[in-house]
Amino acid sequence: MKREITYEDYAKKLTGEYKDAYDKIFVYIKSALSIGDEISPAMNEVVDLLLAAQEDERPVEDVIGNDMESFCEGMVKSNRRSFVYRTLLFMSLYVFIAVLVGGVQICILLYHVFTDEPGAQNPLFTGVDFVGFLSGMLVAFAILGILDLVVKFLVMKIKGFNKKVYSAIYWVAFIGIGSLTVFLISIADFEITIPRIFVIIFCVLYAAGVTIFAKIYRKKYMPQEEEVPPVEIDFADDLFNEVITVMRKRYQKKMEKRAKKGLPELAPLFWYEKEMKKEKIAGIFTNLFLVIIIATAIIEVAQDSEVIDTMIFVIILLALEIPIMYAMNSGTRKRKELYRIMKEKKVDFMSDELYRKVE
Amino acid sequence: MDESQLLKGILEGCVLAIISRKETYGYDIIMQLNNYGFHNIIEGTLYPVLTRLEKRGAVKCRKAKSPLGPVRKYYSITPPGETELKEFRILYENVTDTARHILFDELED
Repeated sequence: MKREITYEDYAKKLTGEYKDAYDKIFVYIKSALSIGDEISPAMNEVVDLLLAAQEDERPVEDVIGNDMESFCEGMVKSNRRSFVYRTLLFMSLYVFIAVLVGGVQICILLYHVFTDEPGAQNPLFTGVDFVGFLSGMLVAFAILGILDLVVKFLVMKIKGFNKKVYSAIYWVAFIGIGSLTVFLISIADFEITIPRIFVIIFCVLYAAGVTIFAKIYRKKYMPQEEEVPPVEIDFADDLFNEVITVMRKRYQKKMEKRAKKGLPELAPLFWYEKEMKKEKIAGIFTNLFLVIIIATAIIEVAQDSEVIDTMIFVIILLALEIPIMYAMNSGTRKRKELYRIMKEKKVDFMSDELYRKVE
Repeated sequence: MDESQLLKGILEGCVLAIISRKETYGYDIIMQLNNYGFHNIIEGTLYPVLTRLEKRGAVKCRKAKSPLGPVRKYYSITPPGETELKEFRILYENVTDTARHILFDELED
């Protein structure tokens, strides 16, 4: 599995004052850009500028000037998209949801077509509480937009937020507010049902319309830039290196705690073995828990439905569950691989020679 | 009087002149301006200037992977840009000649 190398990977080469400048500029530009603007073009330029200055051993002020805020404002102005483009980009984010909702409605429609008794209501015209869902999404997004502005204002004021904090606030708000809004609407019994056929038509027209219009707009109004072929690395190697970095940090933190308590330092391999054992036990309990959850869900469905419904449900559940479990366990597999390599080569995981080259 | 106010009027022309010599990129332009003696103009001004020049077709931009890794924008002058630079040079000479007379004629007398 491949992934593209981004400016964040290259930014890891920055050190000292160049890294400090990058961190501050990233927070500023991320906060200043609006929804629909892309941070990559600006940050690629910034990282390239700082790497060049670092290589030439020129002070940061030589390339950014004495007023970092003015420099950042200049970068933001240069990379701000037009209002129409940003609106289109924002609407494109919902194309996926429209396809999902339309797809689910079509599946339900086909299910009823093949399983309903003769004389049952035409599934094309069965009411769907789509308006409640849509209202929830729009209200949640409006509140999220206001929160986005408030957070950006606070970030600018405090300027101490780092990328992880900012992302965490954003995702907690998105999930929290979205869920709360839909929950409140459902409590209020705000139900306006519309026929399924109209929901399907709306989703198809939205997805197709936004996609086509966006393509036409880009072709007509956006400058035709030569696309730079992405540089790709193997995700497995990237994850392997990430595991080494994370395990180093955990080991160092643990040894600092032990030193404070007056306990002796543990050999890295010995400590790592203990961590692997803990992880194995935790893994057994997690898998057991998931099996219980899935079994409970299957039994619940089987009690209320016919055998064919239960089978369909189990197949969908497994089809979703297995790739998720595989992805979640990729970190565990890499940690086991690292442990095996450390034992074979008798190499301490603090050693740089463990890192796989990522270019 | 603030030097940056005077520089704002001529920065576009200077940047266009640097780009006209050969295809170049942001860091190189900043270094050349520094070498010529313009040290304090960088704050917030160079990249908007490059964007304005590109939007009106005076320069064209191509993206390529830099030797250091990130995607870099390389700027080169276009035929309309060459014309604009020629006009700027004439205008600059006229303005500076006039300004020199106003500022220094009394002193020379």
